[in-house]
Amino acid sequence: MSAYNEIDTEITDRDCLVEALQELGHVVQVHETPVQLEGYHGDKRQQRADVIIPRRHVGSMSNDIGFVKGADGKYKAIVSDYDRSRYGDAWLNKVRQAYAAKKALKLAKHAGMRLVGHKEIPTAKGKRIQYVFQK
Amino acid sequence: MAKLIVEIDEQGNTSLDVVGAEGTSCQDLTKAFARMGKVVKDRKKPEFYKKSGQVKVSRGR
Repeated sequence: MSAYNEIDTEITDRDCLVEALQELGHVVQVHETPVQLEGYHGDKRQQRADVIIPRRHVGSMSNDIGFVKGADGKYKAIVSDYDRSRYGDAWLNKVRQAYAAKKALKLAKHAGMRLVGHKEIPTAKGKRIQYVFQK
Repeated sequence: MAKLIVEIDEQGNTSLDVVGAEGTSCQDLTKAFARMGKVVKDRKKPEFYKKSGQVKVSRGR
């Protein structure tokens, strides 16, 4: 049985997290209250999450990947040791970036700002995303 | 018209840059983004210290 790891994030907005995961191509389940994650045998694990990438969409021998909100309002990612090779820091950084992009667009819209520019700048480590807003 | 440039790096860190605003009006544009997360650096550009609407006067001899 592969042990689960909890990784801190600054993510607080569930809707933006779900949109970010979907943009990265993941199938996502959302639960109003956290449910137990499933291991690759279908076994229920003690870790619970409210945003889940089901194991069958993670990999053939994989465990569920989950996100659960902590008492501080920030989500923790829950990823098994087995899946950390594919869904490690590099993957989590992509989630953080996609989330930040969704959150920026949402906050700007709420503030009555208009998107007047959007660029994705390729870098050695991936890409930087740039938005230009006007009020 | 003032513009707000939002840049998100490869780790998901966000930086905000206001262009074309003088004085504290730049903060009106950035305050909406307070909920993006913890601020780790806040650098005010020289324009921040100019009064909004200030008329630049040159004096000759």
